Amino acid sequence: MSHMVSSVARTDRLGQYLLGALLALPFLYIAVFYAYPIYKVVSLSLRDFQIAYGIDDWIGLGNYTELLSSAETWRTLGRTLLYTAICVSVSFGLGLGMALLTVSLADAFSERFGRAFRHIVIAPMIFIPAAAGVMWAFAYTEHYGWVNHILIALGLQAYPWLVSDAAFFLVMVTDIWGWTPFIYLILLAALQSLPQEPIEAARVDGANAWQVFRYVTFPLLKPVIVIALTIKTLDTYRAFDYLWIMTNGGPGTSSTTLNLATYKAAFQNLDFGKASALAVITMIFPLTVMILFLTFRRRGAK
Amino acid sequence: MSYKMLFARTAAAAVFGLSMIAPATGWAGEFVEGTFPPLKAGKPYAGVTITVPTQKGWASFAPAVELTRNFEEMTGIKVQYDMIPGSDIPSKQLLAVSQNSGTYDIVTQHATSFGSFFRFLTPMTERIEGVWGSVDKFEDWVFPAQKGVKNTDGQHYFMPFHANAQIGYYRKDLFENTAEQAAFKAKYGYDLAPPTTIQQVRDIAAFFTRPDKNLYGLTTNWGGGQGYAAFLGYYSDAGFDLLGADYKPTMKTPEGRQAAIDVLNFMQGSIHKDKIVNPDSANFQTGQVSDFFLSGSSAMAYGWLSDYWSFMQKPENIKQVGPVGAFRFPSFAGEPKGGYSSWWMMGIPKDSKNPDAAWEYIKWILNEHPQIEMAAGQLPPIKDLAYRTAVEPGGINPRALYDAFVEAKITTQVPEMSQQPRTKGVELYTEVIANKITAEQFVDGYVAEIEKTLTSAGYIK
Amino acid sequence: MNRSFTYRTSLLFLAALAALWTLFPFAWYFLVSLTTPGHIPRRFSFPDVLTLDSYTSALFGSGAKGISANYSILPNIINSFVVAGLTVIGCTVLGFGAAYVFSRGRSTTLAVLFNALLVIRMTPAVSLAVPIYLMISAYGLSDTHLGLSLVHTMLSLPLAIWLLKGFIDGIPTELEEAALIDGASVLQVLRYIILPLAAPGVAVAACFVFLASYVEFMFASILSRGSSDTLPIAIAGYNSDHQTFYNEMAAASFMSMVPLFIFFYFAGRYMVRGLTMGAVK
Repeated sequence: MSHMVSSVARTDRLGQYLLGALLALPFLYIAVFYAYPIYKVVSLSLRDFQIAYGIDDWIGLGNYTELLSSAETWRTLGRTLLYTAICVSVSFGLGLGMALLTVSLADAFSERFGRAFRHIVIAPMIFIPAAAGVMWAFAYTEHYGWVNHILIALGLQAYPWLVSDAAFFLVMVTDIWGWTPFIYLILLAALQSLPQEPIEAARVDGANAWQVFRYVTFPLLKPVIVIALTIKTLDTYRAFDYLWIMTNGGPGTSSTTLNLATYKAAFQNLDFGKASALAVITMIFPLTVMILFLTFRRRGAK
Repeated sequence: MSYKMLFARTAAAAVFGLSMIAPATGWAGEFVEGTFPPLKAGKPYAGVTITVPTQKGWASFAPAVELTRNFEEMTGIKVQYDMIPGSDIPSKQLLAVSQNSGTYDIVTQHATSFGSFFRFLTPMTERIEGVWGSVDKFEDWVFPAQKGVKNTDGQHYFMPFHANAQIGYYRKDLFENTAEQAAFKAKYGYDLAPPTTIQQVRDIAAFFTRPDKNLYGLTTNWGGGQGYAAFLGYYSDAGFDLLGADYKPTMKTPEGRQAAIDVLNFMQGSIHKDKIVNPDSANFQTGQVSDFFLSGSSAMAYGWLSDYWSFMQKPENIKQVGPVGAFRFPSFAGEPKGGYSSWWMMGIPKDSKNPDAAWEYIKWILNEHPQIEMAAGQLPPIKDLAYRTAVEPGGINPRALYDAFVEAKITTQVPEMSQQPRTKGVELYTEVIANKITAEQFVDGYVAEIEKTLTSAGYIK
Repeated sequence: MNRSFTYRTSLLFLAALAALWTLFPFAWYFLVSLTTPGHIPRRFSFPDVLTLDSYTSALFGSGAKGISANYSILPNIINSFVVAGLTVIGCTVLGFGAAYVFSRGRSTTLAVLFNALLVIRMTPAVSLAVPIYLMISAYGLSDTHLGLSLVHTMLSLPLAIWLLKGFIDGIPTELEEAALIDGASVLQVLRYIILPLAAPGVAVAACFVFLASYVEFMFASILSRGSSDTLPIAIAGYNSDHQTFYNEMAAASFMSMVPLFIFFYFAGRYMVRGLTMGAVK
């Protein structure tokens, strides 16, 4: 511990041990509840482990070869990435748009108006995701839901939305509705703390609104955007609540992402071995992104 | 099953009813016709606590929970209920008993998934013989469905406590309206009455479907897992077990295949082509069916609706629908062959810490008082008692429920059927109901999945 | 320059669109929570009955409708608060000291460990579900508050440490240096100098940890067998195999907003910090 510098280094030997213990405390916990499960999930993925049938055999990469040779696994992976890509990009577009709108409103009317608008935009964040899931599922029913009611009022036919090919995309709508405020809040905070001088200078030089945004505001926002997008991407990739509550992954498997596939294999089919292999496959993408992100950040810091 | 036989039984039931007056306590030895399993005298298990899982939000079990204090007073055994959400009933308990955790003293299962549990339960034969004298007498005491839940070793591992079947409801104000009757007769050439064939279901549903007036002909529980169960119910009512004697899926035979395709085409077509069922039925479970029906939006309803029977008999609850009648849903084979039924059972897991106290509980719940209290919305599994609640005048259950149940069979189950093939079956089914695949594609995919699973498990050689 | 009437009108138009997009689903659902079964509009119109019955029957259960299995969510609210409370205690106790070390220490090891926390935070929770399920049941802790809060503590610990570090970073080092020179022990420094100064930060971190546990769905559903169901499970559970309580479901959804609402009211300005694990302040 002696290589720790700064004020902490000035404590005596006992103090250093104590600090080491304080640091070790959460990591011991993480070792038990994170590192061990990770080790366990990898080792389980090499077994045919079906607890309810008393089957527990080592089969090497059997689960992986079975999964990777199945077209369904690849479709599931594609679906997961599609879900992530659409939700993140639309949320980002909407969030950025609404953040710019908030700044413009505050500018054109009053600070107070901008704040009020902000309160409205972040409203979905104070709803439990499970509640948002049931709320949106309800909105798509034919008899009580406003979506079909509007269609009927317009003289169109009601449609069983959540039992159709549209279901997967409708869950995305919920995800976008629920998580746009996340991007919005981060970008708004960043926009409001931007230095005003370069923007004013650009305006004086005769740049139009788009040029100011493209050549001044956007580059200044970039570091924050990278952070927001990274977190949002990985959170969307992990998404479970909306999909599970609204469609259960259906109809068929048309809205089953890797998360749901893992869950179904584990807790519906009770096939823990295959579920573990799926869990490991699921982890590959976020780990890659995290490593890229951290490398990128370290290089940026240097 | 003919009605004649049922009427013939009325006399027997009257005698049976009289014998009820005699208290069935403190007796041992030969099982006496018309009595109930007695509890052990002298509170030998006083102080023990047993954990019993049951379904959350289950209206028809609620009276049993209420009455449990009687059981606790009589025996000194304390009962703790775990209320598990319905969809997790098989998996949560299977995981608990398979880990030998001693969590439960009783396993509560229904007919779709009991097969997986055999290896974790203790056989009941000795206990049954101790009370009923012989297994035959016990089997005769309850509905024949109980024979279907035996293990392949011929032993009972489960005791029934609740029987239920899917039935149809119809709005009497519509069916008995003279103008409607005349219009119907003019259009279809026969009298408007609760349907007895599938074609009549189609006709009546089409007749009443008036979307501009917020009225549909039929609303049903064809969503997800319940819809898959409804499909299996229609298939079984057409005379087919899911698996043949050789464990091969019966949908592989030409007749079975055709029956399955007919059923699925009916379900898919009713929603997407004929539009005689409200579109949401593709996503409905029974609670939603009942809610939709009660809001006056449908002429007929189908599902696990007996739960709502006594509720729907009270005029204050049915202002929007008027009087409600029940009917046995017709079979695709013409003559009903015994539909898919809900047969709820309790077994004692090997890891139970108090198996004897658990047995006292199971005997208690098979007694008259809890059974009659629970009977509003379910059928007692005991034949005579069921007859009393549903067929005799003043019964608290619709006659249709008894009719639907009395012929019901339960398919022999192999443990492996309740996980992978079920998940796959639900997935394929939801694709059919979403109009994404055809009935033929369902049958092909489903048969392949069953064969794959049962071959790798060693049932199909 | 851009303050023309057209500019301001189009801004207002866009703002109205955005407000409609976020608020309309709420508005409809809120009306549902104020009606009773049979009175939810069947077509696009205003309900004919407005009452708070659904709120009372969601809170206290109700047998009045003849189907007595409409359960009260009070036990679920208690479960949610107990689990979230235990999680807050776990995260704060485990994380505070480490956050201090991360704040004051400078070394590559610390940097690596600190980034490792981010990796943990970003691991898909479902990937850990099987082993954690097996572990928690092996300890006999499934369907208990403690079992679920142990898992929630693991999920929120990285966030807690990152947030706490950010707040401790803002405390000047002079005070503790003086105290250390005067012979105070590390624990004394933490207890009497850092903790009081970081108290608002601890409160904010506690709020985030609390809410993360409060809204968590997947582990709450896997680890519970009914009696330790938290609020999100209860809300989704209003639509079950046999019964559906649309009105109570809506009422419970809106009641479940209360803690989040309070949090936003008092600590909303720390929101961005929490969302980005302190990366954006």
